Amino acid sequence: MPFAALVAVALVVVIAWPVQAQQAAPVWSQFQGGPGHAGVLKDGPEPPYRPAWTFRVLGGALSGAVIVGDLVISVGRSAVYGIDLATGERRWQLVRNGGPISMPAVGVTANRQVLAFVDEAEGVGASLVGVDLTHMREVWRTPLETTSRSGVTVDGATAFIADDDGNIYAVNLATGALRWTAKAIGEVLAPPAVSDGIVHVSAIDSDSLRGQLLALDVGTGRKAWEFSPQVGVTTVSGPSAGDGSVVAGFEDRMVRSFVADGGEERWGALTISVFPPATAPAIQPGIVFVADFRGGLYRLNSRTGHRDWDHQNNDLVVRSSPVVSGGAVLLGLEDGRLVAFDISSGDLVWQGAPSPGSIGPIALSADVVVAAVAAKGGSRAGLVAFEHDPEGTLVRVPSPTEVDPARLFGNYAIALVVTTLVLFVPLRLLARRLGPPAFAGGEEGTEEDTE
Amino acid sequence: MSKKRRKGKARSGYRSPPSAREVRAAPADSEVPPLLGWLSRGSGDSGWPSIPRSLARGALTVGSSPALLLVPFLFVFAAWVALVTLGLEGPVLLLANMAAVPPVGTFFDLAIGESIFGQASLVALTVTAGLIIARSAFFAVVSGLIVEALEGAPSASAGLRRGSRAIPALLAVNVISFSAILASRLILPLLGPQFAFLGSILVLAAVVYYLAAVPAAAIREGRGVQETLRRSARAAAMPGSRHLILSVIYVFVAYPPLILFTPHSNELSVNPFLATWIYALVAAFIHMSFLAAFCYRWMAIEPEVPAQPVPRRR
Repeated sequence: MPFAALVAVALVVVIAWPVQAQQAAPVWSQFQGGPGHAGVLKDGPEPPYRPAWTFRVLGGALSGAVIVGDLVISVGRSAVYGIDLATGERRWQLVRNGGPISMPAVGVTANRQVLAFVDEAEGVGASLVGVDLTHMREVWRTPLETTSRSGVTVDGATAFIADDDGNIYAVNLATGALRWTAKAIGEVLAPPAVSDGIVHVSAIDSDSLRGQLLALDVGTGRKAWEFSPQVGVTTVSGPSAGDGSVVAGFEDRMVRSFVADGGEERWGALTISVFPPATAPAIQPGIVFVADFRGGLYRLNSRTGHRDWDHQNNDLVVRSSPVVSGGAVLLGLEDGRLVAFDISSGDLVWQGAPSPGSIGPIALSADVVVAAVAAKGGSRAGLVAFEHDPEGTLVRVPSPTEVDPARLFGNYAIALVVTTLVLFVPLRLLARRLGPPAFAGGEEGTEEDTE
Repeated sequence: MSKKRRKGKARSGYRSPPSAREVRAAPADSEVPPLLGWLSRGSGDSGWPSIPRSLARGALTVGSSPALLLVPFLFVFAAWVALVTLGLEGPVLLLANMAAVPPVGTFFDLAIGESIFGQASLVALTVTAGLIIARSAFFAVVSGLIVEALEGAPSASAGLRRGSRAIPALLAVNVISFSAILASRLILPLLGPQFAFLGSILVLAAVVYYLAAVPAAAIREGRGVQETLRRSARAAAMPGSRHLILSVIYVFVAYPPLILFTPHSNELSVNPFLATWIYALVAAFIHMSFLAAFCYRWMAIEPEVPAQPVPRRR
């Protein structure tokens, strides 16, 4: 290589270095990792895991985490926290007035990283707030009509959010200006999913028991299509979109896939239970992973909806969505366990110890799994990080819904013998003493029963 | 034990239905509204055996017969394996009512079909229909064995033969149960959630009340399906409240408590624990005891059941 070229390359590296250091690329920029909520990190850490660190705050739960370079960001009740990914130590915090805790998101615009989160002050109302992460200062604040719990999605230079009245907002990430607003039928509890030029929103109207999957044009907010199931609806899962499809779970226990831009239903797959509204499926090419409320994790073929496998955990899933980390699918359970499944067989390969809080949204980086833990009693809320444990051991536990012939037949055979003997011996003796009922041969009926 | 037991000749095999002359004429004061007889009379003027005696006789009949224990126990296991093969993944509490008497059993057939294949699905209805047919055959056979045992000379082959003749009547009971459950699902939600649950239990109790005597009547009398159903309903409408009370007891025992106390009741598993199996088999015994109690009661009042509809009291 000529000397001049080497000098040029060296100059570029030297000049670019501070910028790269300041603006590390988002690894897991929002709920389920990206605007479509795919929930996949191909080079994510593989099980087995060991706890790396915990981060706890006084006074309530934390939102699911987003990861930007070596920084973890999470929203608490009274502050937004920046945490060191490697150590779990707090690097900074931003004051927050209050309001429901929901997922933040980070996007890159005009050469700077902007963190978007919801703040709500008494008497002022709810706002979407933009913070320049490079200079750590608030750059805009956009008021919302009412309280928002949906969480934020960022796609390119636009942030999307919805509120409890079903208002949907598209906000310029650089300036905070409203690009457009739209209206869903009711409360939105999961972040909108954006893919293929469409914004997808799941909404429920608990008064009329109606649910809605609404598709909007990403540029104008104009309605592209909507789907409302026939049955009375109290819950619809958040949507996940990608590869020309959008997938969500509905009240009738069906996971449905739709053509993203046309709304035609591609397939429906039945599960055992309904779907928590603040969760969403994970999508990778050819595969959909979805978890239902009763703790079932399902792997579905994304083209046909055929169930490849399912694993029933017999514990509730309320706040956690499945994510794919390398060759494993991770899920958080209500009893505080983080569990990992083999992606091809569905066997449980690793599980953490139960902890006092339920596991919420999971965030992944190449080295660390960060799971948000929401304390049931509100006293031990925080983030729990796991890392690959080279000395740990994997297990292989099939779903209890797979037939184990030895256990099935063995337990039944023992029960049959025990129950038959326990019932038969005393009742036979008693019956011999009492004799048969008296109406044998008795057209006249019931001498025995004359009381 | 009866102090006045008649040492009658031992009998076995098919018994001719009582002729019109053999059947006692209904007493004059039984001219009550045919569907509300239980409201107008005390229990003392009825030919129904007492409830404790009926249940004790039912339990003794089933528990002292190896066939009457093993056939339901094997049915529970075979039904579970068949449903798992179809795609059922639990919960294991379904085992507690696998041998439930219609309409409670029918209610669970419908729930199982929907659990595997979803609501408003044609496949679910087809599977439910298959379950109903299997359940009808099972109950016909078991009822045959029970009647044989109650008649004092149990013969498995005679019981099977007589029971198989009752399959159409049992099928009719299940179809009526299925229709009543579907209708109540459409209507009861209009009353609100609190009343809907109570209403669904009362619908089940009403079907038990009117149709509980069908298995024994079909086996003992060998009449047509329609006439057998009528005879069962006429028996239910006879004076006294014992039959109603027993019907309600059965539904209240079988529906909420029996399933709620199942060990690991909500666990999704196809490999139940030993304790769950033992509980399921004991539950099957309880269901069979109730079925035997209903058969016993029919046999006790059979001669008193009017051959014709009782005229309404004016």
